[in-house]
Amino acid sequence: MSENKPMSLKLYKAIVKDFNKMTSFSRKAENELKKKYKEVPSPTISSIISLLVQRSMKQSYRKSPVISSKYFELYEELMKDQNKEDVILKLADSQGLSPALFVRSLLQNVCSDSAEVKKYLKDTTLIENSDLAYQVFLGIMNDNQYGPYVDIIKQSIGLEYELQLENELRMMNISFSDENLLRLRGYDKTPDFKLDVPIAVDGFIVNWIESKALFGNEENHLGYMKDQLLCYWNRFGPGLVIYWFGYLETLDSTPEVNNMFILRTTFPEKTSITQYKIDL
Amino acid sequence: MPETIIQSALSGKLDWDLLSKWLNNESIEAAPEDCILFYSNRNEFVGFFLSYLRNQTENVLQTNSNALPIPQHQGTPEKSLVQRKHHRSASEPTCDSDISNDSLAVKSDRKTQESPNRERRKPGRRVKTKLFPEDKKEHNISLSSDESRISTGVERLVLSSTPLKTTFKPDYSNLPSSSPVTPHSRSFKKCERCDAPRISRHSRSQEKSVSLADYLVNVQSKSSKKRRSKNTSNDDSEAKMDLDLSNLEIFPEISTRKSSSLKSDRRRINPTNIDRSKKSYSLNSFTPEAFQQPSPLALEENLAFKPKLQPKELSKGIEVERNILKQEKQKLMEKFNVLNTTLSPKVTTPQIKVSQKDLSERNLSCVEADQSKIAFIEKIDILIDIYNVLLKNNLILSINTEIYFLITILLSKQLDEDYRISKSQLQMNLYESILKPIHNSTYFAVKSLWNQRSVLDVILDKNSLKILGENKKVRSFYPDLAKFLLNSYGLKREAESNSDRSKTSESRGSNGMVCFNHETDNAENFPSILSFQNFKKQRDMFFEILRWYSSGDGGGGGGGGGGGGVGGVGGVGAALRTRTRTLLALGAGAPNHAHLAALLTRMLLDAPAPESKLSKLQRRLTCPSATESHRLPHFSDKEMFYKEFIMHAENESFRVHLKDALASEILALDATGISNESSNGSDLTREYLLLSKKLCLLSKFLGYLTSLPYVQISVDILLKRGPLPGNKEEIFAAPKEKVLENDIALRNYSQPTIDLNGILRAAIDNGRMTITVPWLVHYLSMLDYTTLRLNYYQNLLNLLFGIYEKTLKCNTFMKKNTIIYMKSILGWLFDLPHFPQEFFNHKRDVTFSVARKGFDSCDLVDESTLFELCPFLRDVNVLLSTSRVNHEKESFRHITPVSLTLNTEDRIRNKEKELQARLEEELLRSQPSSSRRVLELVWERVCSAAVRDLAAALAGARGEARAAAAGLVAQHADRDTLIPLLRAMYAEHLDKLRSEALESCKTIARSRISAALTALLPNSPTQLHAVATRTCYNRLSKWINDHWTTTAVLCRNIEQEAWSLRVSPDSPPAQVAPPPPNLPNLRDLCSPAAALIALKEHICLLLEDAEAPPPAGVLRACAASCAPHNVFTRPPTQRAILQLSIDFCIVYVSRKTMKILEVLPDLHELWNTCCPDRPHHDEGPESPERRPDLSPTDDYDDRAPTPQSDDDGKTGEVNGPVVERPPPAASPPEPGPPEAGALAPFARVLCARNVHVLGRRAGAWAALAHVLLFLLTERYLAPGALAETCLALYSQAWPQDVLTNLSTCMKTVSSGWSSSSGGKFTLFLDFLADYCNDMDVEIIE
Repeated sequence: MSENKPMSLKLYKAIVKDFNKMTSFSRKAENELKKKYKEVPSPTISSIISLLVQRSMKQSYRKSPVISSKYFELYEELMKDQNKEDVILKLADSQGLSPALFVRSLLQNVCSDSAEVKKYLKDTTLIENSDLAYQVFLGIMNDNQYGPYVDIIKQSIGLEYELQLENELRMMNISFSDENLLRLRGYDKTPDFKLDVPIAVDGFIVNWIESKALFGNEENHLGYMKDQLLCYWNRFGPGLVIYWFGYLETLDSTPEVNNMFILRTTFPEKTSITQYKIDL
Repeated sequence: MPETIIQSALSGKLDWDLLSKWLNNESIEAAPEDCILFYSNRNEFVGFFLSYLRNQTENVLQTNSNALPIPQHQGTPEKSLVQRKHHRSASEPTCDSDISNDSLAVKSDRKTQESPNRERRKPGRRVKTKLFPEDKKEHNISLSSDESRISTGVERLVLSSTPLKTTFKPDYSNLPSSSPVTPHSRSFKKCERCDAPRISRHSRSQEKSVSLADYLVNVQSKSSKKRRSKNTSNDDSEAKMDLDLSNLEIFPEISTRKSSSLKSDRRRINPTNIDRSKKSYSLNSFTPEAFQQPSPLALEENLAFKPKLQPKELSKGIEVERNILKQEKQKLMEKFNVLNTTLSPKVTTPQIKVSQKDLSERNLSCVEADQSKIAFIEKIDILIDIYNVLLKNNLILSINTEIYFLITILLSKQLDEDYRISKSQLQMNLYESILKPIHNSTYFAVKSLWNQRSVLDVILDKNSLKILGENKKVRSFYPDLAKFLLNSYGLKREAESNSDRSKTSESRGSNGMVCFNHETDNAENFPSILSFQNFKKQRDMFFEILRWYSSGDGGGGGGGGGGGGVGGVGGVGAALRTRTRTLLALGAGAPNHAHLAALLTRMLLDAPAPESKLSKLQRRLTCPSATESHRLPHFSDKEMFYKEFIMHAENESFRVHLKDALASEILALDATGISNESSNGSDLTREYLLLSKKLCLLSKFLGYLTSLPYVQISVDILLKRGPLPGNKEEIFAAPKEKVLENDIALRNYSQPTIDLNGILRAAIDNGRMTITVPWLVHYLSMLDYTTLRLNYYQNLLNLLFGIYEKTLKCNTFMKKNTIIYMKSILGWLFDLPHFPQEFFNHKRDVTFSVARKGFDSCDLVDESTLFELCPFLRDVNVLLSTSRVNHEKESFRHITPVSLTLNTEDRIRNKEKELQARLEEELLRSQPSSSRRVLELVWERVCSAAVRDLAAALAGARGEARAAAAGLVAQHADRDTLIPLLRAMYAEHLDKLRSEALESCKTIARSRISAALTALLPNSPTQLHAVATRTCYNRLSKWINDHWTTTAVLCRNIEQEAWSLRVSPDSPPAQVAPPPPNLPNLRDLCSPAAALIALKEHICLLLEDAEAPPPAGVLRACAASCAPHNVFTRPPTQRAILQLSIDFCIVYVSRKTMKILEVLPDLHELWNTCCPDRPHHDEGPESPERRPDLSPTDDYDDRAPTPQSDDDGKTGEVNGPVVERPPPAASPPEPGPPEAGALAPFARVLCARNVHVLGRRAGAWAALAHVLLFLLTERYLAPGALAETCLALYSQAWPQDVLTNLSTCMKTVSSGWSSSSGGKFTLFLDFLADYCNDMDVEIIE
C-alpha cells in the first residue's frame, strides 16, 4: 500500500514531464522511470504511467486495416534483416505505439477476424509462423499496459484490493452489501460496498465505499465522478473512495471532495473510524 | 348606521350593557323598540369600528417610522367604500390636499436619532435630495399601492445611477411583466445612457425609442396621474444633492470604484421621480403594497419598518445611496460567498420613503404621550370595551394585526402641530376626534393591550416582553401591564434557563439527497427495463440540476459580467427550462413522471439541509439580518428551486403526478398518530412541530400546483419578457369583475385533488384540528384569487370561519397556546390580500361538534414551536426590538455565544456524541420508509408493554417497601426519629426501584425489540435493533423520571403509613455482544497480480539476456498465489500464471539450458498447485488398439482445434487426446474437465514459437528433452499430445540445424520414455526423428 498522503502536484508534474520525454512505451522505459522515482511506490508509478500511456494511445492508436497493412509491410521489411531479435519493439517505438497494441494491429492484417486476433494474442503458441509468434510474444511480454496478461493483472489487482477492503470491513465488524447483492436487489447503481450501517471517517459520514486500485488524477477522477461517485451520492449520500495507488493532491480541493465523498489512499485507520454504537 | 352606534355609545345614549349583549350575540329584547341595534348588522359594525379606530389614530401612526402598514380590510366591499369615504374626511386635517388619494401619507416625526445617519445633518438645515430630474415633475411618483410592490425605488436608482455603457444588466424581476410603454421592443442595448433627457410623459405614447429611465418612469406614472398636479410646492427649492464620494463612510469601496468610472468625482444621482410626491399609505385601505417586504438591508439601518417617511431628504438621499451600495455589496458577497450560504437573506428592495411635503419646514418638536393629559377617559373606556368584546368574540379576523396596531400606536409620538389641531378638534367633535390626541390614543392602546395581555404573553418573545414592559408609557399609563409583562419576561427567562439546552437534536445533517429505496425504486417498480434505466438517468440528472441551481450558476449569485447578479435571470430561467425539459423528456412515460414526482416529494420532505453553525454565523456577520416580513406566503430559498422546477417543467403530466404524490403524502401524514401513552410533553411538541412543518410545506406546494394552471403565464413569454419575482402578482391580483364572474361560473363545480372539506370535518370530529387546520391554511394561502371564491372553497372557508368564530372563542379543552396559535394562523390567512374576507359576513349554517378529547387537547405548542410555525408573529417582536434600538442606538443583533470547553477530552466527547447522532440519522435515512414505519411501530408497542411491566414492578416494590417500613416501625417507637428513618428508607427504595426499573427496561426493550425486528425486518442490521432499543429505553427512562420522581410513588403519605403500620423482587440479566468472527488477514496472502508482474518481468529479463535474479522466489510466489486458499485467485488469473510459467520455462531453458533442472522442482510445485489432478497415461494397454489411430487424420483431428478463450474457464471440449480416449476398463477415475483445460498449455510446449525461442542452441534442446521427459513423467503432458505437436512441427519448414536439434531432442525423449513405458508413442517419436532428421531443405521448399 502506498503512503497515505496524496501526491504533490509538483512530483506528479515531474513524472509527467519525464514520461513525455520517453521515446518508448515498452516496459523498459517504464522501468527506468521507476528507477528514477524510487521514493514513489512502484504500483503508483505504474498506474500513473498506465494512465498516461492510455491517454497517448487514445491519440495515436487507430484501428484501421490500411494502417495494419502498412505496419505489416514495415514488419516484413525489417524481418528480412539478419538481426531480427526485437523488430517488434523497434517498430512499436518508431510508430509511437505500445508494443502490444502494435502487434495487435499487425495481427489484424494477418488474421481474418478479430476473434482470431484475440486468440493469438492470448496464446502466441498458437501462431503457426514461428517468427511472428516469437515477435508477438516479445511484444506482449514487453508491454506493461496492454495485452492479455496485463488485462488479467489489472483485473486481479482490482479484485485483490476489493477483497482486501472487504476483509478490513469484516475485521471491523462493519456490515455491508456488496455489488452483487445490491444488483440482486434491483439497485440501479452499485458501489463496491454499500454499508448497511453508516460509519464516520474522521468525522465524515460514509455510506458507501468505492475501491479504485489505481492512481487518481484529474482526468480519470472526473470520469469516475460523473459516472459513479455522484450517482452514488444521489442514492446513498456521502461516501468514501479509496485510490489505493494514491491520487493527485489537487483532487482534494475539488468541491465534491469532503462534501459528497472523501478520498483516501488506504483503508482508514481504526482510530479514525467511528462506528455507530449505542450505549445503553 | 354603525357610526350612529358608536356616537350614541360615546354619548351615553346607548346602554353599554345592551351594546355588549348585542355584540356578544345575546338577545337584546330589553332594548327599546327604536333601538338602533335592531337595524344594524354586527359584522358591518365590526368593519366600521376598526376603520374608525384606524382613522382616529392615523396621524399618530404616521409618526412611527418602524411600523409596517397595518392592513385592515375587514368588511364587505360596500363597507370598504364607506371606510374609504370616512377615511378621507379623517385625513383632512393633515393632508387636505390629498383627498383624492385612497392612501394616505404616513408622516414621520423628525427625531434625529431615529437613524444613525441623521446625526450628520445639522438640524434646521434643509437639503433636498434631488434624486430625480426636474423635467420629470409631472411624473412625480407617489408609489401607488399596487405598483410600489412591483417596482421599488431603489431599483430605479440602481438603474439610473449606473452608467449603462457598462455591461450592467438591470434586474427586471420586479417589474411588471409587460412594459406599459413598449412591451415588445424593449431592448437594453438601446438604452445608451440612463441620464439622457427623458421623454416627457405626454410624448411617451408616440415615442417608441424607449430609454430605460423612461420605462421606469412610465411604470410609475400610471398611478400617479391623479396626484401629479399636487406636488408643486417644493420643486423649485430642490437642489441636486452632491454626494461626497471621498467620504468612505458613506461610500464604501464600491462607491469609490464606481466613481472612477465616472468622469468627475462628483456623483450625480440620476434623477428619477419618486419622492417628491407625498407618499401616502393608508392604514385603512388595504393595498397589497402593505405587504411589501422590507429590505433586510434597510432593517439593518432600522429602516425596515418605516417605509414611508424620511425626516430629512438629505438623509433619505444618503440612505438610499447606502442602500444601493449595500445592495451591490450584498450581491457581490453573495456572488463570492465562499460558504455559499443558501439561506442568505433575499435582497428585497428597500422602499423609498416618500416624505410628506413641507414636513421639513415645520417645527420638529413632538408631543410625547402623557398620562396626565388624557381627556374623556370614560369615553375612551367605552371604545376600549367595545374593542375588547370584538376581540374576545373573534369578530375581528386577525388578532395579531390588532396587536401590531396597538403597539404601533404605543410607540408613536405626535407632532406638535397635529396635536394642537387634534386638541381643538376634540372640543368640536368628540366622536370624530376622541382618539386623535396622542395621550388618548396611547391610553387606548395600552389599556387594550392590557385586555389582550394573555395573548401578548404568548406571542411576544422574552426580549420583546422586556422592552414593552420597560416602556415608559406602559409604565405610566398602566403600571399593571408593565408589571405583568416584566413578570412574564421573568418567567420566560427562568423557564429558558431551566430547560436543558440540549435541544440540539434538530433535524440536522441531512445532506440534501434522498436515499435509494429498493422497495420502491428498484426495477420491479417499473414497467420495463428501459423505463428503469431512464429513471436511473433522470435521478442523476435531477440531482445535477439541483446542484447546478444551488451552486449559484442557476440560483442567485450567478449573473453576467458587469452587472453583478442582476442580469442573467432570464438566462437562468431559460437554462433551467432546458434542463427540466430534457429531464422530463428523457423518460416521458407516465411511470417515470410518477417516480420523479415521488422523488421530488421525498426531497421536499427529507432534504431540508439546514445550515451549519459556521455558515449561520458567517451569514449573520456578513449579511444584514434577514427578518423579512412573512405576511405573504413565502417560499424559502430551498423551496424556490422546486417551485421553479415545477414552473419551468411546464409538463402537465408531471404536475398531475406530483399533485398525486403530494396529496397522498399529505393524507398519510395527516393521519399520523403522534401521541401515545408513554410519550411526554416535549417529545410531543417536537413531533408535532416536525409533522406540522412537513404538512404545511407539502400543502403549500399542492396549493401552488392547484392554482398554477389558472395563473401561470407561459414560460415562453416569461422568458422573453423577463421573469417576475414569484407569481405573487398573479395569485393576489383580482381579475376584472366580468372575468371573475365568468371564471367562477365556469369552475364553480370543480373539486380539489383531495377532499379538503371531508378531511377538515373528520379532523373536527376526531379532535385533530391542530394538525389539519394549519396545513389547510397553507394550502389555501397559495390559491389564486378566483379559486378561493369557488363554491367548494367557500364551503371550506365557512367551516374555517366557523372554527375561528365558535371553537376558538372560548373553549376549555384546548390549551391557551394552542388557541392562540390557531387564531394566529387563521388570522394570517384571513388577512391575505386575495382572501375573500367578504365571506366572513355571510350567513353561515355550519354545524359541527368538536371532539373535546382528542389530540387538540394536548399541550402541543410552546413558544419556539409557535414562532417556527408562524413566522409572521415575528413582525411584532421586530417592531419592538427595532423601536428600542432607535433610542439606544445599539445593534440589536444577538449572537448567542457558543461556549467552547477548553477541556480537550470534553471536546472530543462532544464531537463523538455529535458524530454518533449523525450516524444514527444517516442510518435511519438509509432505511426504506416501510422499515422506518415498522421501527416506529415496534418501539411504540414495546414502550407501551414495558410501561405495563413497570406498573407490575411498582406494585412489588410497594409491597417490599411496606414490609421494610413495618420492620422500622416495629423497631422505633419514637415518632420523631421514625419519620426521618422512614423517609430515608423510602428514598432508598425509590432509588432501588428506579435503577432496577431502568435495568429491566433495558432488558425488556432489548429482548422484545430484537424479537419483533427479527420477525418483521429479518434483514435489518443489528444497529437498527439498537436504535430501536435505545429510543425505547430513552422513552421509558423519561417516563420513569416523569412519573417516579418522589417517594409518593411508593407511599402517598409516609406519616399516615407509619401510623397505620402500628400493626414482599428482581430483574433479568444482560446479553453479551457476539465477538467479531475470526478472519484471516488478507495482507498475508500472496497477490496473484504481483506474482504475474514479477514473472512477466523475469521472462523479459531472460529474453534480453539481462541479469536476472534466481527465479525460485518468483515461482514460489506464483505457487502461493495459485493456492486454493488464496481468495484473490480467480480461474483466469490462475490460467494466466500457468501459461506464463510454461513460457517462462521455455525461455529459461533457452537461456540457461540445464540450469532448468534446478528450477523444475519449483515449477512442479506451481504446476501441481494449478493442476493437482492429472490423468494417467495408460500407455501400455492402450497401444494396440490405438495404433491405427496414430495417423494424424482421425484420432488427433477430432480434437477441438484450440481453446477459444480462457475467459470462461470451460475448456472441456479442448481436452487432449488423453482425456478423450474412451476409458478402458481399468482406467483411473476420470479427471474433471478444468484440469484437462488447464493442461492444454502443456500440450503446446512444442510449438513454432518455442522452436524459435530455442533456436539453434543445442544445449537448450538437450535441456528441453529433460523438461519434456519431466512433463511426461509427471503427467502434465500426454504422450499422444506430444506426438501430435511433434508431427505438426515437422510439417513446417525448418532450417536443417533446427531439424537436427529437434530430432535429437525427440530421440532423447523417446529413449528416456521407453525405459519407463514403451509402446506406440516411442516408436512413433523414433520414426519421426529418424525420418525427419535429415530431410532436405529443397524437398520442403
